[in-house]
Amino acid sequence: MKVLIVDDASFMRMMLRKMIESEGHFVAGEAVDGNDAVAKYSQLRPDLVTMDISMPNKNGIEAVQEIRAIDKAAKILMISAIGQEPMVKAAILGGAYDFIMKPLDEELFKKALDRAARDGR
Amino acid sequence: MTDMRQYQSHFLDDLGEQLQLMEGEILRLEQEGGTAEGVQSLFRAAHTLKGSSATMGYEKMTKITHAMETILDNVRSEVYPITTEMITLLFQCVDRLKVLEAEIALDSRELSDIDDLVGDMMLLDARRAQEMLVHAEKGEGDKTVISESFPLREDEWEMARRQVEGGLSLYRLYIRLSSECLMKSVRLDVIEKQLRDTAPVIWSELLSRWRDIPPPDGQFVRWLIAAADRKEELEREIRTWFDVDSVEAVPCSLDELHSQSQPPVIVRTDIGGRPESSFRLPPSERVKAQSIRVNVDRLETLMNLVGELVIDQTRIRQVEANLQQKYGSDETVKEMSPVFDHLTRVIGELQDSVMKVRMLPIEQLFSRFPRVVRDLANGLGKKVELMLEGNETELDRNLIEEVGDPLIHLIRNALDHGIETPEARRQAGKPEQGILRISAAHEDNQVVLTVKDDGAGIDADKLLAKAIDKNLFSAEEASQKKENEAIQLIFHPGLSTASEISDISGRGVGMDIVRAGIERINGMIEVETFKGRGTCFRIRLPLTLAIITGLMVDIGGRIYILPMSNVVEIIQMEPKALQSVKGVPVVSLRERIIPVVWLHDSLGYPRTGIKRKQIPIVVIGRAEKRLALAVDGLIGYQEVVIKSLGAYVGNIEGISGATILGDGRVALILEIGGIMKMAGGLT
Repeated sequence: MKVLIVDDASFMRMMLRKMIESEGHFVAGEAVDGNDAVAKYSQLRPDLVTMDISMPNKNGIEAVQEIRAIDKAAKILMISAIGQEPMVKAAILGGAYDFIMKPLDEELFKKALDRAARDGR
Repeated sequence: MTDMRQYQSHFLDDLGEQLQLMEGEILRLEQEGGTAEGVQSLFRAAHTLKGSSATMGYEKMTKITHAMETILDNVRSEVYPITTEMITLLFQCVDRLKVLEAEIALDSRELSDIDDLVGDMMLLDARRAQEMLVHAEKGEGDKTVISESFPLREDEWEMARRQVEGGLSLYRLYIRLSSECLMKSVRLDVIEKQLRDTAPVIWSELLSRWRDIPPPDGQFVRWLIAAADRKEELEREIRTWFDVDSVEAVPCSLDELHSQSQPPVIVRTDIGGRPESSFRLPPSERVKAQSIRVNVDRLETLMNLVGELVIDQTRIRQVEANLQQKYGSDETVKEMSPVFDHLTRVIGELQDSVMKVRMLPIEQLFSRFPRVVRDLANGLGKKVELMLEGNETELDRNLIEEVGDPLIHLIRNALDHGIETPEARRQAGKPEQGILRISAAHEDNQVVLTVKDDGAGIDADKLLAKAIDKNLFSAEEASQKKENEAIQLIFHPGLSTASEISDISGRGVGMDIVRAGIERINGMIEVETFKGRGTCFRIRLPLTLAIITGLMVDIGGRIYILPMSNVVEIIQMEPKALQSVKGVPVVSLRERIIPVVWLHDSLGYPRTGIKRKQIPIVVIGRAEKRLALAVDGLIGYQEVVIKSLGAYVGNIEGISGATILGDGRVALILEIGGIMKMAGGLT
């Protein structure tokens, strides 16, 4: 499964990459803000996007909307911090696939990847 | 600290609304059983009130609403079902809140004690929770908590049927989130979405019940889905979803669903032969119109300004007529005509619109009645069905306020004296449950309200006997009274036919006060009764108090205005056709002898018309009373805007106000009640 990682923090991107690769998936690319995410999505067409919410330039909610406008089947997993409930809700209603809470629980994240891969078939 | 007093009036407004809403919902709970939506909306009202009363610093109110909230929360979480006892307590809460409301309105203090009620509620809550726990331990637990009705709509039914025909199986799904789940509401949204990706969802409790407020911790959320998978497959799949603590898929058939989609009727007031009252209010009328709150003063100002315009418009009409007469051929004058026409139309529409702003559906008032009837029927041990008709009929808001008390009095009378006890009704060959029908309708620019019962009717002989007893007139006079005349005695001050005084409709200070109340707002009340079959009171009211249709009459060269709503008939009569009974001039009209009064006498003008061939006579009516007014001429009728005479002049008997006529002259508006009183002195 090709995954696009979107996060403005390089540490988070690194961690996500490690977890994704350890599960046998392939990180197709990394984006550092919403604009970057939209551009990389149309270019790479990944099977799954992990999306941070608060980012400079364009936040995760807007990015979800734009990506869904490009590809209605886009599968986006929101990565949210505590206290961002209204934004997560907006993202889900905007078409995001699921959400997972920060700090990331490795087991849960793997479960999410697993299910995304299964659903992708 | 912020001074909260400035918010007081807002708070009280809201409070009134919320209390009315609560009362309506509790009643609905009682009649229709506990629907999830009803409990939810009641919970929300209690919650709102708790918040606002806490903000305002009203502790007792906060305590009561908190207790209500606790119980309602447990009901909606299905910790325990709603019971009659609970409903009675909830009613008591509303009553106590109303008492507090009155106290707060008076001097911003909560005086009455509420600890007993709050104690009762806490006790009830604890006891019910305990009972349910015991219940659950007996092994009926999980199912009683999680299985409940699915309130399906018609289209959802249809969908379920189609899916089954298409080869899918129906499942009731019960999903509970883990207690560690952090964003419960979003998580449920995701689950809803995932379910919809998995299988057709026919009904979702999340969307129908928990949309505004997330379900409490540990609560199962229910769905009805159609799926091709087996139960185990379905459950296994859902268990992999995030934050799902427990899931159960219960296969169900269409038949099963059918028996469960009936709303649970838990509450029945007729258990153990208790009196029962039921009400019919179409549920579809629950949709509230969007509205904004406007200070009444502003509306009054607007109304006054429109009133001025109406007067100007009448004047313009006259000026136009004069101009036409003088310079009819002039182009400019001709051009003015359509402009005047347009102006007239616009002003007319403006007047209509402003009037409409002041109008409210009478439902506002009607919604109080089911409660009144319920309590009265229970108290009297009678069975009554209340039917309300014409809820949507609109009426000036001032009138709605004014007509409330008289109507409630009529309702009390109907239940107390009209509708018989179940035994008496059975013996009379009638159904045990009496019917009280209250309706409102528009009729020729008036609102007609009727209060009709199918009780015993008014006993004319009893009334007459009582009147003789009280020395209102002699037995001989009484024997000459026709039955309908006798019936009118119920409006006589000091007469009541109930052989025992009850605390419900009192001791003969009833109907005369009702009539006075109705007449104060330019209305009329009539009564019709059929022995053994019931009584019907009919109240006619003007649509508004601010503008009336007036009959302009000439008295001694001056114009006076009589409210058309009081004019019964207009006749022309030769002076010699006037008869005299005991020295009082009368006319005989449709087998009725009506005293004739020259308004000149009351108003202090010399009588002039007497020498003419024909005297115009206006018969005015006030309830059953009729009075013939001899005037000098009839001028016509028009809409007049009532202006008060002002504090300087003050109240004058027989005059209700003044208006400005088209030609700029001021005309006084006569008040019928006062005139009748004056005439009573003269004749």
